[in-house]
Amino acid sequence: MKILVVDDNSSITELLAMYFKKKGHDCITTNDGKEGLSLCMNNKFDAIILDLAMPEFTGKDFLDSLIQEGKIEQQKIIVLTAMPLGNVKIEDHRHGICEVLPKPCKLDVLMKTLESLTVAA
Amino acid sequence: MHLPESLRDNLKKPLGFLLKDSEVTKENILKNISKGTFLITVGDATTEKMIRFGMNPLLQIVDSLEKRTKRSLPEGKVVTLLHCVNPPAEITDDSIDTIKKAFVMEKPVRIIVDGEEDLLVIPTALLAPEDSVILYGQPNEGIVIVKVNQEIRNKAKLIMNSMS
Repeated sequence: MKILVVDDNSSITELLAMYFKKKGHDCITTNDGKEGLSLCMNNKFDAIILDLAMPEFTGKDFLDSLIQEGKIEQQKIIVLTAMPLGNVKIEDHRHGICEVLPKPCKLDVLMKTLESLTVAA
Repeated sequence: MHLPESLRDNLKKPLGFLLKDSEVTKENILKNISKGTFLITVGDATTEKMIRFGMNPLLQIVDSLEKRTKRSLPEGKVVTLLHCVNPPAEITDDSIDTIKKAFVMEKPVRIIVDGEEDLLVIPTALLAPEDSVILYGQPNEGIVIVKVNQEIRNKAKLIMNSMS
């Protein structure tokens, strides 16, 4: 799988990159939402793991930009959020978002979610 | 949590650097290991490769798996044998305690993990002596070389904190 991880927390991107690469996947990470969007527009990823609460260019900005560009439907996005899941309002972006997971997320849960996306593809 | 700018800069650097499969030779490994370096390997294939190069790691963390397939344990001299339980995608307290113990026991030490050792490079980096070198494999890419220093320990600690 080719996975893009967009999260401003370097510890998380590093952990996920190490874990996914150890599992034999191709993983690209960025700590900047805008850079993540650029990567997403110029590459094809099997899945995107997106943090909602990022400074300056948030996860919601990322999703809004994908909608504006008409690219949201092509993505398989897993949103990570430290907010209570009930408070996460992302109905407008439903089509691209496959799953919303709480932060911190257990790696095996994340891996299983990713694998289920691949199977569903 | 607020991180000082200096630490943020540190975090932008990767935990280790990748020696591509085609470049994994004894000579290239030795370029990164000085005489007397405390050498640690995480993973069966990496451990086996170093033993084949004539470099018996002082700490070997293995799980008898290679690319998720059961395999035999690497050969090589081992004085102390320890076991721990570490399910996939986790870093258990048992693993952390066992790694701590390994550093004070007679070397070479081998830890056989019941489960997977995938993430154990992180607590190992946190607990290993200054200037030790950790090697671990990245499937189909090569071997990652981690030189342990305070910067790496800070990073390992932050990564572990991000998991809880």
